[in-house]
Amino acid sequence: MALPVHLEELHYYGLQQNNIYSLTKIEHPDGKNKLLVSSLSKKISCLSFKHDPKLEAKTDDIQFHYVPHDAEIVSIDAYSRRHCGLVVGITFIKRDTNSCFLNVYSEGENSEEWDLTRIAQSCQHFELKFIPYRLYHGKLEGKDETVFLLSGNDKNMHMFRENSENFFQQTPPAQVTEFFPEFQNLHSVPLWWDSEVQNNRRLTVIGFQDATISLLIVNITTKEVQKFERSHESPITCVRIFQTSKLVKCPQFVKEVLGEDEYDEVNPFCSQEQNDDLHIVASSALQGVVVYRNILSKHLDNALTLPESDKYDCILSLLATDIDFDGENEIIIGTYGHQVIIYKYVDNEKYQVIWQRSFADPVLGVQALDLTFDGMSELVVLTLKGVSVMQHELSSVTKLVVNRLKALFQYNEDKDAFEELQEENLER
Amino acid sequence: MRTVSFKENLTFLYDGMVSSNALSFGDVDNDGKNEMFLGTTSGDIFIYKFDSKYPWKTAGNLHMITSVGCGPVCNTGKNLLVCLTVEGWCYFFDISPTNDESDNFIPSTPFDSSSRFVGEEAKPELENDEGDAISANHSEDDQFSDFDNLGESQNDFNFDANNESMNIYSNAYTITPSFQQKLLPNNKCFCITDINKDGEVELVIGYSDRKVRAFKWSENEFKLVEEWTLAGLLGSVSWCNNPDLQSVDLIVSQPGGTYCTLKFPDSDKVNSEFPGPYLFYHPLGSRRARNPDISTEVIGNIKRCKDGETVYYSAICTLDGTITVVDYDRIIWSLIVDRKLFSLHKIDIMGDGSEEIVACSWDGHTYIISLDQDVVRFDFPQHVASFSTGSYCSTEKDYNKPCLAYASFDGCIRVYNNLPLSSISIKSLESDLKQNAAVKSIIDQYFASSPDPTKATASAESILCQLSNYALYGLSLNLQRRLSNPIHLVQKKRKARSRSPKTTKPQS
Repeated sequence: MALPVHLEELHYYGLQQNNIYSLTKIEHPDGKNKLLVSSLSKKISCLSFKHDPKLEAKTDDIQFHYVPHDAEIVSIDAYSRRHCGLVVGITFIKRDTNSCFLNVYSEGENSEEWDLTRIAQSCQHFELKFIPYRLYHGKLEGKDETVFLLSGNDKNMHMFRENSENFFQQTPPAQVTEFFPEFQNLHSVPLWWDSEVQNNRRLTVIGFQDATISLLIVNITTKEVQKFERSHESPITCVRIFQTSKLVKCPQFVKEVLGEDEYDEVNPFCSQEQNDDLHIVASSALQGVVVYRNILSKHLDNALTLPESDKYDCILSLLATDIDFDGENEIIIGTYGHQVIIYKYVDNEKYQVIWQRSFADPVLGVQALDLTFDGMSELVVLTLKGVSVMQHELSSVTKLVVNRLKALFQYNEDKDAFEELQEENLER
Repeated sequence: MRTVSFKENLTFLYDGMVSSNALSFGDVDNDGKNEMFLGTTSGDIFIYKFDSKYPWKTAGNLHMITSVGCGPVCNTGKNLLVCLTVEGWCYFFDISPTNDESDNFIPSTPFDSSSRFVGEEAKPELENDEGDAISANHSEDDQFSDFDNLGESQNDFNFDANNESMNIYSNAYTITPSFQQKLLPNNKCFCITDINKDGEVELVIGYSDRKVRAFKWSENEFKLVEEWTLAGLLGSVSWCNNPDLQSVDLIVSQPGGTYCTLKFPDSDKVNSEFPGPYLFYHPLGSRRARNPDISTEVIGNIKRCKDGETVYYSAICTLDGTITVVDYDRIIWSLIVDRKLFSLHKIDIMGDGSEEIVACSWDGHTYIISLDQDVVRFDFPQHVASFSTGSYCSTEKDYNKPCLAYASFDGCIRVYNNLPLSSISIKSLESDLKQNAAVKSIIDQYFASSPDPTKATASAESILCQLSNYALYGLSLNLQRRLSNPIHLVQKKRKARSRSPKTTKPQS
């Protein structure tokens, strides 16, 4: 039931020069998603679509305060706070003094502020004693709190946390390891990391500049860390941790109408007893992409190389998402050689190229996000000089949605048959 | 404005400078597959076929070529390549497959002025200065190309034309004009169409001295049939179907974003109260205040098929960035951009029978405009010497595909022949789903509750969004089997075997 992938360029945002840490998503609770892209030359653009009344693409240049004129922006990140409201972090290097800074922008604790132009005015300024690399956010377990994590050339992971008065503070290293024991005693600069929480365990994978990839399994209550390492031959540019399948939950109003619980997700790859459905995909600068499958049992031993992934120069970005609507995640890679390639896991043994396209500039990042408010994710491709938004060919997707909705609502009466089918689905 | 970035292109090499009307497409060898041809200001014609970057055929020593085109000018039904020079020479070339290389065409040796101009006096080499300029440009480009094209050898954008220019002629046959005639000098552009309903085409030439003349092939030469004198300098000559008269209107652009229709006097009315040719100026009065002398281009006969009806429009663009769609004296709509538009063409990019207007600026911004008032922009990354649209066949097995062609100042023509556009406007799944009857009835049946109409539409949109999101990303695995197995089969199966326990092992 997978739909043949056929993506077309919906819009191309022409921007200035970007880097691999330039793209961040803003996921609005109302589904009004946006992209925030920083360019090397101080310019930060918010990319979105709007109905006016036709659907149109929009680029807003946001003037973030206290970013000096000669700043070179290294990385940008944004997250939404536990209550509401947006927090944006920007790291940059000031050219004249070669000093590095992190600026954090957010409105007060209880504000439900999503307006970027207002957020951009309230700034907190940190001078950094190291060169910043990737800025990302992580959740503190059990606290329902999100913090900024910043990797630096001092081989440390730095944490910035908001206190009760809504001021951000750099957390002392001892406390960082208390929350994130996996980040202590790093032997090199982390270029990229990704985490997934499952059954009181947090699995973190870190890609280092010295070509090693570390898988750390943290027991959240005891803080015990299991560590597995594997060395590639060149710096790790990107790592992602992913499940075979991650299904969207059934909306509440559908459940109410159908009056059943069975419509909820059944993930055939993930039963309660044997929970071994996590995989890692990692790319290194000079080699192809490697997928480590079933990391909970096999750790980093079950490696699969993606065919042809080493033919298009350095691979700079990876993404695991469901692109063909069959419920299983595909792997999308973006290369410096202008290519975006989508791989699908077939026959339970290998990855196969199912789509490929060449772009006008080197590809620095790939993301999936619904920008057009229609429930379908677009593929966002960050290139050296712009952002391409790729959309599925609409007529075939429309047909698919209509068929599925018809099936969902018309089979409602026949509950027995549905249960039967669900079991068959599990027994494959 | 929607923007796209086309990537796939074919590169072809040429040598010299090209004027803005001297790049075109057409089936010059009458084999059903289109070729591209280009004339330079130094008097060379290059004809390209399929994907070879070198010319397929060339012709030289024709002096400054202002425009090229292709059409059955001799009314024999055979397409001929027509080329006009600024001195007034009209050449045409018969390149049909039967007329093979053996007798008419001499294979040329690699670029060498003495052998290229066999039988005629070699012209002084003017290309040297231009060649230097190209190389200066290029050293800069090459630095970037090293950066940009790491690991990308195919379609190398910054092709070093200078090194290759010596070899341009090596694979090409030199052709000689089948016919030449001195017409009047100062021509600028031409079009080939039947303007007087006699079933035979005329060659209509626009001159830079405010004249338009129509010539017709008879008794082995072009004879002047009609002459019009205009009030202002013309930019381009085009024609538009006139369904009322069952004929075509000749249209000529006039400065300041206006145009003029040229009528051919009806033979039965020649002696009546309106002798002589007719000129109808279309002032398009409701325009905003503008420069009345701005140079203007016009394109006619833009076909629009909607609801089974076919209508023809014309479009006008000005150098100061206005594109206007007109129907006689009526402005349908207009668009203002901040680019210097110099070239206006049309193309059926989506293959739906309706044509789109394509306007290109000197710095490469290309606007593709549908008659539904949607615009999409493509930024060609270089300055443009000449721009054209048409259809081109890139391989022997392929068919003619719509394409955009740019001749840049570095001796390359880039042809974008794979234009992946299925609509001009930005569309989302939502609008397609809303039009679907099944989805409508599901939403009406299950989710139409709110009596307040404004509230209802707002929530309907979010319901639709969440439903499609769930259908795409949540339902797939649960529904797959259900859709592929009809109910009765399932029920049979159920009777046949006992119920299995609910927890089963996952796929290993």
